[in-house]
Amino acid sequence: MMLHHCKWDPQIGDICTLANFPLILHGSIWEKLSHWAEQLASETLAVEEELVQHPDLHRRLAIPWKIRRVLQHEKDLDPTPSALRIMRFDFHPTTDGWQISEVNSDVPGGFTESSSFTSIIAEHYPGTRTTGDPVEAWTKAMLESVDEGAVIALLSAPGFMEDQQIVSYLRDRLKARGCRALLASPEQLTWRDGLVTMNSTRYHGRVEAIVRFYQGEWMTRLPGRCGWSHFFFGGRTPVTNPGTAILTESKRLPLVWDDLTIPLSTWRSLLPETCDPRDARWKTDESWLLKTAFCNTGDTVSHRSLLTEKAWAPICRDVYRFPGQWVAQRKFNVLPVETPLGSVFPCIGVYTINGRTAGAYGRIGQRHLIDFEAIDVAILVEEGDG
Amino acid sequence: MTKEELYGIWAPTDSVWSQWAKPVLFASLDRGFELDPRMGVPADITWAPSPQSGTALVLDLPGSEGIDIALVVAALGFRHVPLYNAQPGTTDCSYIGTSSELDLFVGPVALVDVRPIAVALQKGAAVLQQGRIERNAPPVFLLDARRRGGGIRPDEGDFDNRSISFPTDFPSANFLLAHAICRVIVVQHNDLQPQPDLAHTLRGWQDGGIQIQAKDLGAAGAPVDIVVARPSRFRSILHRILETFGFRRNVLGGFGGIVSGAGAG
Repeated sequence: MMLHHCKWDPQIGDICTLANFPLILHGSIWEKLSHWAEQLASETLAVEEELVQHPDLHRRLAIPWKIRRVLQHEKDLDPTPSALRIMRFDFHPTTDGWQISEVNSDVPGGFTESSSFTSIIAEHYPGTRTTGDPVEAWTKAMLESVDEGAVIALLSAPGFMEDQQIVSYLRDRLKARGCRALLASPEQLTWRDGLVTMNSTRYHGRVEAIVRFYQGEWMTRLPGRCGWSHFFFGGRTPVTNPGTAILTESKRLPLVWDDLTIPLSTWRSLLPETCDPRDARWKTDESWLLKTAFCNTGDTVSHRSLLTEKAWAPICRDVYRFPGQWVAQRKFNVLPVETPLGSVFPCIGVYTINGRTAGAYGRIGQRHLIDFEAIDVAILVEEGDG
Repeated sequence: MTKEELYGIWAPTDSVWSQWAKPVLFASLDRGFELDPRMGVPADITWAPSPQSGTALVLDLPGSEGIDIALVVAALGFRHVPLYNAQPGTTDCSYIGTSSELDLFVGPVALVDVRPIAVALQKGAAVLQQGRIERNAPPVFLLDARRRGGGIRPDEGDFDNRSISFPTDFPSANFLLAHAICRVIVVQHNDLQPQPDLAHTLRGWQDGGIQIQAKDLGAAGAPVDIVVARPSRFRSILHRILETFGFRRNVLGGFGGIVSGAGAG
């Protein structure tokens, strides 16, 4: 994994982050999750399309003001085409049935673990199969959107090894299929007439597609000359995912549901009650947890029971000071699973690519939280079952 | 020798410390190569403690200098743990050579030139193969002191491979104590206080009951006790994200303003 599949962070502190056992699902369960994921993807795309036409709701989603300005003033330009659209919905088995905590709509990760790692584990478990190879599906979809031998730029932020290992993995998979795939930072791109050229010491010229492993909310920190607004509108070079994905990435998305025409029945049935922190008694009622609108890898998921008093206090201050940047969500009780590591709490992220299920990314936590210390686990399905 | 074999020498499976070794630089060595045991002048390690003293070393030294010392203290009985965490470039920059000549790397050089480290890892493997280190040997963690770029402003088009060291790159104080490590010596140049990113790890160890000492290679004498000052935002609940939002940006000198937020979801 480490030397050939770009898994460069298999150890986080004292924790090995790769489980040497899989979680095995009944076929019928996988079928159900897969079906829900496709319904959720369909609803999410419809919501996103509607939200683009509703700049009045963007502030409530905590969209940074520079992006709000682009979304408001440039929405009459053509939307930048999407090379493909990938999302990941995080499912949890709870005492109230399966529930989702969120969608990673903008820049989902976990590719190495859900593809190569899962395949390697599956080889040792006869009678099981993988849920698919998300990166194989991703590569196939990407190749369908570009010409043969195309130059593809994969963007990530310098200094983020956890992100660089992912784009390196995607690059290797693209190169194996005949593409010229290049790692880059957004600052190395120049937009002219909606088309992109890359300027680096190793390549200068046109780029046929962009893989944006660079989160939407970070784009506002880029210099204007990067032309980052083209990730949203006015670009002719396809981008995956398009910048407008930030609208559904916001964990405050449920706060605007009632202002939209899309019924969102799957979302409403699977997501726990979610509201503005000002509308929840989160300080005294421990059935609420808090997270920021653009929480990644569970970094800002906060619950009193998971924190010391000293750590909880600044969270409270921040929520009181900037409630519009946070969201309160009913805490669900995840059912533990017995494993060689003892009782763990699983999370099954289901990818969709262009609306179709593409595989699963498993993580297990030794407490009621899936964060950067969670352990990656292969998700397999019983063969011949469903 | 393949990169698997090279990694196996630097991070052997029978060492408890190997799980912390960083694979990224090894992964970039895409082609087989011959071992070259020619080494430079042996480093002066008269300051080094006995491996039986319950001491771990953190060599925060520029380029391949840490490897030179690691090879010498390996002979005393310390176990090397390479924590070099940067790619030499894109895959257009691959190691293709059999000697230590840096131009045997094809492709452009990245902002932080880690090619000498890759070459030293290759040469050092031959030295390590000739010796034997006990399974319970204390660790010597190897860092590139230039990992944060050393204040160099990147030119447009550079491959930016700067990185910082996180506490999660190391074992915890509890783990060290459980393995009879109760003292850590930080070895660096021209300073006794650690770099800002490493300070988070050392302060955590210090709070966990580990004695922290520093050795300035530019000065004579034995390692001295230091008190690691509490870093800004130390152990904040948003520790990791703050490191990346603010801390890391400051550490990197605010380059381009493009480094922000935590890893993707």
